Amino acid sequence: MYLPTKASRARQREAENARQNRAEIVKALSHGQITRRDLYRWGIYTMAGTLALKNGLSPFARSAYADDIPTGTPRSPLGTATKFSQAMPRLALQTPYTLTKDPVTGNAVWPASLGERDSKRLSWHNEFTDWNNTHPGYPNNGNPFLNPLNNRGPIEGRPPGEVFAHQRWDEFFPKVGYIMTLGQVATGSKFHQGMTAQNPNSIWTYGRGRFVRGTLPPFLIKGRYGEPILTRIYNGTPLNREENEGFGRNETQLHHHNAHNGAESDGAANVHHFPGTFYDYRWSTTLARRDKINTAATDNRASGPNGNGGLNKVAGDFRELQGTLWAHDHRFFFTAENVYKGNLGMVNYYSGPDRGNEELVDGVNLRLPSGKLLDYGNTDFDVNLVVSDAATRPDGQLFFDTFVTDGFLGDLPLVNFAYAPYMNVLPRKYRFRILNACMSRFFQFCISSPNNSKINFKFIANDGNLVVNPITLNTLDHQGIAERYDIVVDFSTFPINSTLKLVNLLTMREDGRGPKDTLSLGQALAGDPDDPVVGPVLEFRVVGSVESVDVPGYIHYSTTPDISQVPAQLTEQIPIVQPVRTRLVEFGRSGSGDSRLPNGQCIPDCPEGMPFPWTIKVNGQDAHSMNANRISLLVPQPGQIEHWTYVNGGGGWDHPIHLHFEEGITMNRGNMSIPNTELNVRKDVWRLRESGSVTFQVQFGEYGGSYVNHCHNTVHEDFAMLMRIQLLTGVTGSPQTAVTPTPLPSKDGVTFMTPEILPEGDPRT
Amino acid sequence: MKHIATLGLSLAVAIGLATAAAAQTTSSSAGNLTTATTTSTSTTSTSSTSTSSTTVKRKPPTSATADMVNEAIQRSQARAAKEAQSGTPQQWGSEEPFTYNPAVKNFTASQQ
Repeated sequence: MYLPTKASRARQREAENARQNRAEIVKALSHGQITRRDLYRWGIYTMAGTLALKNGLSPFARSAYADDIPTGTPRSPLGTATKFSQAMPRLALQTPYTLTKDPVTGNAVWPASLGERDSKRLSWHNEFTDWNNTHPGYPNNGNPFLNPLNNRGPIEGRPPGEVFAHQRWDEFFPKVGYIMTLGQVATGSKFHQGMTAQNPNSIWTYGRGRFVRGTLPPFLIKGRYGEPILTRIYNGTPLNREENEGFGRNETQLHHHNAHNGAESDGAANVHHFPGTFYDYRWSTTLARRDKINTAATDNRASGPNGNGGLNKVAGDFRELQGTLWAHDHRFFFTAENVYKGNLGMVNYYSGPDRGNEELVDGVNLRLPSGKLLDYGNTDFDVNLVVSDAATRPDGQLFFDTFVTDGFLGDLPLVNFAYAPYMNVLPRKYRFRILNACMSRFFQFCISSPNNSKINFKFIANDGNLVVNPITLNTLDHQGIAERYDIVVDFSTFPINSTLKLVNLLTMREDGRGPKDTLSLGQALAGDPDDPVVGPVLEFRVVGSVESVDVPGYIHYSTTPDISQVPAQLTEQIPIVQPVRTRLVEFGRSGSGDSRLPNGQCIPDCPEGMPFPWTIKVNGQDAHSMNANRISLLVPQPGQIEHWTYVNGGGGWDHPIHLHFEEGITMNRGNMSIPNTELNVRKDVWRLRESGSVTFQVQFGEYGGSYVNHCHNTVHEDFAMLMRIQLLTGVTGSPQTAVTPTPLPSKDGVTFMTPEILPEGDPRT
Repeated sequence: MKHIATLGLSLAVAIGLATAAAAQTTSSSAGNLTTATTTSTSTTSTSSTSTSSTTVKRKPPTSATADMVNEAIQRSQARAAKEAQSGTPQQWGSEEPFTYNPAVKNFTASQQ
């Protein structure tokens, strides 16, 4: 899609004109100056709701200056930046506050110096509503629980009532907390020092504190089992929706991607909140199956580090421990724009076995490469890599094409939001936690040696789940959006001053629908003139010493022995058993989804005239697109083991499908081959492959409520390739043992409506 | 209003230039499926009365069989094959002619 650097000036102008025309349409639409109906009438939109293949408008229309070649999109300007000319930033580590429990109210109390209201089991929305019920005249009734920025609605975005109370609050009372604001990026933020600084509204990302500016790189939070977390997110984005530099919605819900949390804290229960408000997410660090397996917390392997070399044992199944997680925006219909704009971070969970300490010997700790200066969570040799692609306008500001429905590909390779950086490493073992944080791009990585050959490494975890036995590879499988691969690379055989590279071998279809070809290493190293994100994206430089990131000022030397290990067995296999029921879910394309109600409205609200080309079918029944008030799958009881099969219903696409809340054990891919990195491995995102399918075993428990299942090509997700699943798996006596009402967030507060349930998704008799 | 004026001008120019270069979009037409997953006819009822119907509504399956999965995979493969042949993205139901062949196993009960 991106023009070659040697394209003629005429073609460059043509492509830029087309992009500007699209940008004008987006702006006029967002300002309400035109409607999508106008676009149909003018022939700019097709009946399917997609951009017409018009020259001067679509990047896929044939160029007037080159036969049979698409118009394309102009390259992002690099300024003076070159690859591997800046050090890779490590993610911005957040420091927790200690929370205490008020013995009278049961609230979680923040340090007084912060001036924060308590965090509570029930939302502050209750107090807001109660005040209005007794003091007429809202919003001019002196309500002390009013959004201070626009004087409308409650201060907390979490809905009122028991349905959105934190489930099992006392049992998983938060011991630590974080205050973060999603807001305009700080002045001077750049992808590279040679590039243009981003405007405040080009990137919205997180900063530490209340109503502060956002910072780059994205955040990193270190969690540990047995220490529940309260994350208070302030929405500090502009009040005016139009102040977004062309894309991004100033409403957010933060999804903690696959942590085992109640629906009220999953960040995807249709509860986005507005500028000026906060939302309290309780990240419980619950170990799955705590109500079914190891309920007395006697197994040392089911544990978290206690900070002093020991363990805090927790109930649950150690085989379901999670490690590499992340968090990102999940505002329905706007997720791609918001995540791309910077609304994401990573969360590492540490446990007894996966301690983040390579020295402690206690029979439980696996001693994986990490470091030893801290009791747990060492990151000197355990490195998070957020790999993504981006594109900018000719003026260097971040650009997103909201017209594409198939997929969006950028032409700037970013690692931790830095343009193609380098990283100094010692000649020893390192663990890398690789996250694909793109919107539509799939990766396939290998590591090239100084003589341009592939080196072996060990694959140890998939989507944050340890594999039973490490797998030696020299090339990773495709890595779809949101998938996390943990690998261990041993640099010890390379002399000081050697350079190695993390290389993306995978080309994408130009329309962004899915992967195309895997290149040889030689081809990839030579670069793809049509796609600058193919090829090397990160350079490793073997050096004699590096400064610690865990204890700044401390220097590690190459002469220090590497005591880390990669044991032959990392966990145990969960067996595949006869299921209680099976489900068939087909992800495809209808051309006319049913997200809109008869009055034309979506739930939640969506852009006017938005098309819905993507749909989902359950058990072969009618196809539907996203409606937050429609329950497509209902899980009636906790602990029932089910087998689900996902099928790619359409030709030509690939879809990385994400199941919230629970992981599944990957059983097979029909008659297609399945790699060892997937077979019997727990995952939460599955690439379906073209005309492919995947079957996995899953069970639900501990919490309940409304969750979702969707394509994590976030462009597809925003065009409604998403469905609601309802778990009646809450603890006895909680509202989450029944179908929960649908929250309808607005600037004036949250109301509820009764959901509809698809009969094919409801196994209750 | 400035944006509208700018937009109108630039789009008029852009679209005017498109005559020779514009590609054609292809619309797919729905045809006859030779297989159907489930047929059901809606019945109507009110709280006080019910109307009789000549057809009986079949309850949609709440558990999938291996055969259902197998058929879905075959249908998917047929769509992919047609897409590869025509270069046109597929729509639901546009994979005709498609005849499910239960003897061709892409998925078996043992795989569950």
